[in-house]
Amino acid sequence: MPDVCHYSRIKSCALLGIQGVLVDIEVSILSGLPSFEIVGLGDSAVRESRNRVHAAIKNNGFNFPTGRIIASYAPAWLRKEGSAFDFPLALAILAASGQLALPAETLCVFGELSLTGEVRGVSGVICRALTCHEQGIHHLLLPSANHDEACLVYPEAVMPVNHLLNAVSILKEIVYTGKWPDMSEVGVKKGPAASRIVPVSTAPDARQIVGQDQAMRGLLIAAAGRHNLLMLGSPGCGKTSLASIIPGLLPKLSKDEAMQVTKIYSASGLLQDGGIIESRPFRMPHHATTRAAMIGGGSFPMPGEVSLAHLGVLFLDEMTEFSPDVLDLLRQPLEERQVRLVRIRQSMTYPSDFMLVGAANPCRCGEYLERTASCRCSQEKVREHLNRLSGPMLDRIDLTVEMVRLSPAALQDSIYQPARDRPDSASLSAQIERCWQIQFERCRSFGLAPALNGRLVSKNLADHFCISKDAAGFAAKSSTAMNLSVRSYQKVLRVARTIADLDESDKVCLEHVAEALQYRFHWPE
Amino acid sequence: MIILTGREEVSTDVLPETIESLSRGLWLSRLQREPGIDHRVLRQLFLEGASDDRLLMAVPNSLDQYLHRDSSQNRLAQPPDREVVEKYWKMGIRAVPADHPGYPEQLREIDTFPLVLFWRGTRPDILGPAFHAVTIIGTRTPTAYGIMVTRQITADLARPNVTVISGLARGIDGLAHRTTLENKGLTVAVVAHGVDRVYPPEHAVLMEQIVAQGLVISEHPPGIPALRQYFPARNRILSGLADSVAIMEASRESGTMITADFAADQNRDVYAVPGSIISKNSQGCNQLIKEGAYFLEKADDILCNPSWRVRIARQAMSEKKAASSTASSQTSAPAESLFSTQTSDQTSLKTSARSSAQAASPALKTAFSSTAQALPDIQDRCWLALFGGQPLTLSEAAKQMECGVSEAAAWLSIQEINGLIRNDRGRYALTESGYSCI
Repeated sequence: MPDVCHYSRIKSCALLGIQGVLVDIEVSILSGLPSFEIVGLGDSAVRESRNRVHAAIKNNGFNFPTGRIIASYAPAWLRKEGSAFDFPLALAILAASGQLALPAETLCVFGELSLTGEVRGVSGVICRALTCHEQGIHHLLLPSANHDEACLVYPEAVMPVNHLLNAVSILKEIVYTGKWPDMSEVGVKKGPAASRIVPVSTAPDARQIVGQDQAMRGLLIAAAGRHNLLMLGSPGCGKTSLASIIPGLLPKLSKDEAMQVTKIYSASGLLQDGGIIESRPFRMPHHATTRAAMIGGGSFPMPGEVSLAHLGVLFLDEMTEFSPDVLDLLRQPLEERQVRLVRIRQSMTYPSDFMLVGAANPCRCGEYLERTASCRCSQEKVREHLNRLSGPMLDRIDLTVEMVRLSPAALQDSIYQPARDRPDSASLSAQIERCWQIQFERCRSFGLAPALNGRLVSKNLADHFCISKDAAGFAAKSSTAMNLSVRSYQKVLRVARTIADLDESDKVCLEHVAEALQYRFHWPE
Repeated sequence: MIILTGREEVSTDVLPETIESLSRGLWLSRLQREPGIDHRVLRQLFLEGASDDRLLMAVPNSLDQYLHRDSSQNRLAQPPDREVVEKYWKMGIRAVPADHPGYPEQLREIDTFPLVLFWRGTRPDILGPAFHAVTIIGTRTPTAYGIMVTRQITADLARPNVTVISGLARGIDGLAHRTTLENKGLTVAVVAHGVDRVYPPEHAVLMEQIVAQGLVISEHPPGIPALRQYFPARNRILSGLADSVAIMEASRESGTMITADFAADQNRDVYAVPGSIISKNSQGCNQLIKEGAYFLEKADDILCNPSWRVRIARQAMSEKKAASSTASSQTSAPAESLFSTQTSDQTSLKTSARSSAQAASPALKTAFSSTAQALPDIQDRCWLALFGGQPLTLSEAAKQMECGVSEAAAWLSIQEINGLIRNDRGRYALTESGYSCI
């Protein structure tokens, strides 16, 4: 029997946003009237874990120590949330009361306990595992439900357990033999599982879009340079269908990017199948989404839609129906590519580098752009409607396409025109991939961090973009003729550069700038 | 001017200036005026493209032949007297028969088109398809309102590609001519007598001015005086030559209303300037508006009307097609003329007409060069003409221009910068400068 020293200490890992933080769990049993307290700024789940731990210990035949038990989660100033500390707390109590000996080497434990002692899975395992890896913890004891997820990042250290008794026996063995079990016996799974959040195969093929040539071209340019796109059109003209093909067009995530996205999803508890996310996220929030859901929040800031769309697409359908303050929240992430959430005790920064795609009706009845004169909205009404999109938001939209419903003749043609004449997703995504390669190469040749045209931060756009003289002259002339602001002018140059890259041309020529000018936003006159 | 070479240069845009045409025209008009001639038969034969010999069949056999005199047919078969023809030629009178390609096409479409038109003037091209022909007519006794309105609207219409047609009558007609001339515009006067005469007498100077800057046209041969019964018939030509007919001020039951009726029958656009409802002088105009004429407030109402644009667009498209396809010689040979010296060349009239339609006549080129901006070339003009009809979205435009959306978008941007195209409600349409370019 180990000495009853009435004190034990075990390491666990808390989740702070998408970052894990190592936490020391100390348990001290003092003399006095029986009580059980947890200190360390835990939230209600942490407070409730007292009952869970008590029941789990008692139900498995262990003695729950009498006396005044104080459990402290260090660092004491950091808020701790969630039920992941149940399991280590139970082990620490057993160790403090002399019923278990903890190994000398550091071990990180986390998991939730049921009343019977089963160890349940928690969220954010990838983040916690990564932190443990960084901090040099060589052994992880965690629920077997999270085994797959943890194996993605740290397979050699993972010891999955599914019951408290299981864990106790493993630890006894380790202490007795002095050796840690070889993970190959436990059946380490290597490599990512084959699940994705948005499987590419379910995104519709681009072939299914009939007509709408201008909109397809706009979509191609937006995807190729990661520009923000706005689609204006009457109801039923195909805005949502056009947006739904985007997941099939964008190239896969690179390894680093996949890890970033998986961390975010893991922290939000959305990683059910435990695989690395390979395809770009496509988020389509409803227009009744609250501020907290959009940007991230709660008393413990969880990632919002903007972060869940990191490195992917955020599609706002019916953009004018979003409440103006929710839309306003998007300004910071669009500008800074991250969102900073400040709470009383801490602030957290989530990455949110997304491509914004918006769809809206041009006026309240939606018929403003249609050829039939059925739109009864006056100029004032149309302006008022579009004003809901707010000037600064529109400033960050790089491309606007106006769509109209297919005419009956075009609809008829679509039935008889062979579908193979239309480009399919595979060819379009190959084109986009090639275009991205060109942009990254150009960034490398200039010594800049690789970024796409819509995202490039550059002190001197003109140099880096290789704009030919007549194109520059034409752009200058057009900016006065069309009353472009400086920001619009720069946007036009960026879009022109993307069009030139799609054309595989080194220099930006006049026709590229001329085409880019067509995608500016027109206020109704 | 068309230079007479050994081979006749024929263009569909311009009235011809050959002595053979004058000769034939005089003969045709003499045939028409023969007493007892069956006009229906004559017109029918003419439409069928009958040769001149066959046209004589319309002349009834007179009793003369039974009295052993020369039959009318023999008499009529004689070409007109050479001296007379040369006398008229020296006076500057020319003629165009209706089967000549240079005859104004819009006039030929009406039911009772004149078989021959006599003209005098310096601008034989301004009745061609490249010009928008607007007829301005009104009462002979206008009020100050009518005068002001006519001055305003006609002054705005004085453009290089707009032809103002009127009847050289007292009142509004004469004022329209004068205003157009003052504003360096193009004008055509349609008269109800021979072009060597003038009615009313006080317009003698005006007529000469019109001859110097435009055209004077009549269906009557020279020498015919202005008789009362010729005026209503003349009105059908006034509306037949035009694309749009604009009535400035007219009272009920006036000659102007007859012209408006003709215009309605001929499917021309009728515009009327409204007037005070208590003024007798405007009752005709107000009535026309009630019956469906367009409300005319300023010249733009005429110039920006879609139906004219459609005609121009069609014209541009047919020019483009003719340019791209090789000239085919499937057209039928026009009727043999008794007076033609080059019978073999007549068969290729239509083909050469097609090929020369591309080369704008020198008069047109000088008109365009007066505008300040750079001339769009023929491809640009064809594409601009596409936007003269309904406004088009980018996809529709790209389809009609037969290129990808990228090239279409780039071209449209350039034209927007040049001020020729504007974007309205997501669709592209021509601006005013754009209209003057096509």
